[in-house]
Amino acid sequence: MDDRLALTLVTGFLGSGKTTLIRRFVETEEGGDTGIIVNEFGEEGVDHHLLVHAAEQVELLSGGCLCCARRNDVAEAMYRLVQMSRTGKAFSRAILETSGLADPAPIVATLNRDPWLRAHVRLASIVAVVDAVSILRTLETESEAVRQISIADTVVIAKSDMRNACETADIERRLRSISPDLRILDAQHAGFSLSDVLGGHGTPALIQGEGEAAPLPSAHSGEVSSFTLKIADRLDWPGFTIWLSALLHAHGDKILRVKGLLKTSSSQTPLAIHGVQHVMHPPTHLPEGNEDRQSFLVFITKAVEQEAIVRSLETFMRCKVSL
Amino acid sequence: MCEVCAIFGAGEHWSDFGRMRNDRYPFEDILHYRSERRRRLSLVNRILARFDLSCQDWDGETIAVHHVSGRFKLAPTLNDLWTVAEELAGRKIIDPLTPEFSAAGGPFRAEAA
Repeated sequence: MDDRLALTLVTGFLGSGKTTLIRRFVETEEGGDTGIIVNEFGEEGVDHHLLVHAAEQVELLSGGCLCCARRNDVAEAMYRLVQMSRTGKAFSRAILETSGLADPAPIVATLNRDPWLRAHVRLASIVAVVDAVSILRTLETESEAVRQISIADTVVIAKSDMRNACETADIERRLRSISPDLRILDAQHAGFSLSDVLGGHGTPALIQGEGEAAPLPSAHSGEVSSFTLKIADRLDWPGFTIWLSALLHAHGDKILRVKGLLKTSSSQTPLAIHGVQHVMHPPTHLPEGNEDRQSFLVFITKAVEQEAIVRSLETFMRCKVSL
Repeated sequence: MCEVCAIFGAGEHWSDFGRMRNDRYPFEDILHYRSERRRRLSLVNRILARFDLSCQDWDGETIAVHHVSGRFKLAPTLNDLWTVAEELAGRKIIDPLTPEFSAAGGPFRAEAA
């Protein structure tokens, strides 16, 4: 059993409704024991006894890539929350609300790189909140919004009840053109559950249960494209880790997300892998009974040619890849 | 480190979790980790050879990357290895999308799971 503190990362533009969503959750009985981290210069509005402010402290690592920048503010705030939980203010989960323009990738990188944080904190979900009135316009003009959607595993559509809200079907179609297998929820829907979204129950690995057999359709949204590669052969795991780690080293700023189900030389059952830009999460092993699942890799990339990745994978791994 | 046999663990990088671990009896996990590590570094050396670089395993805990000039640096993980290799080479050399990198790949000696 994983007893690390479950962390949900909530992102979304200023005015998207993310603060309201968090406030509604912490006012419920279940949500009352949630530790919250907000950016010091973020929106006002969450008044909570377990609130920690994070000052803007970004440390660029050698290499200078901003998506790998260590977020000292986030690390320090998480330390404080975990220490708080040990001094009597017990709480069940944490929510980190990013500021409106923040790229979530450095936060994911910080959580992954820091051994202490890895041992004490589990990233449960990356949730992007979008405003039904303005999101379609925002996605056309703000590349940061596209990046937030690419990295998220869940999107909550807020304010769909407003008179000038766009049609939910149009919003879903646009979101799926960025990330085909996104979980999309409407906050106004009768069945919407705050606990399901913010309760810390999920994992970002996103290989969703037994029913997911069909590969995802390719999609394009401006410079961002997503595609699925089907792999017939069992992959040599050491070789594959070299290929993928080198690919993310060279192009991690443009590979927004990679995930997949792989039959490998190191395991009887397939491995589920998932990464956000330069950061790969430790793979999980599917239970017995999944031995015949089709291997596939999903890439969401910005300005990286699908053909180049296919050619490289086939040549390096000596395997057959189909689309 | 195990206090009895002085063997270090089975690695914490994402690439070290290819095999399902047995927390109760970790010895086979450690042997598997070291075997995969040897194969991985052998393959890395094929890639680095054209850039006058080579790497050595330091007791399963870190990787020493050497340049023919005698300079060397340590890389704790596979991710660090690429950065360190490029620092020693003085330029960007690691890119799987280039034919040079892809050509250094398989065939691989597949192990039984």
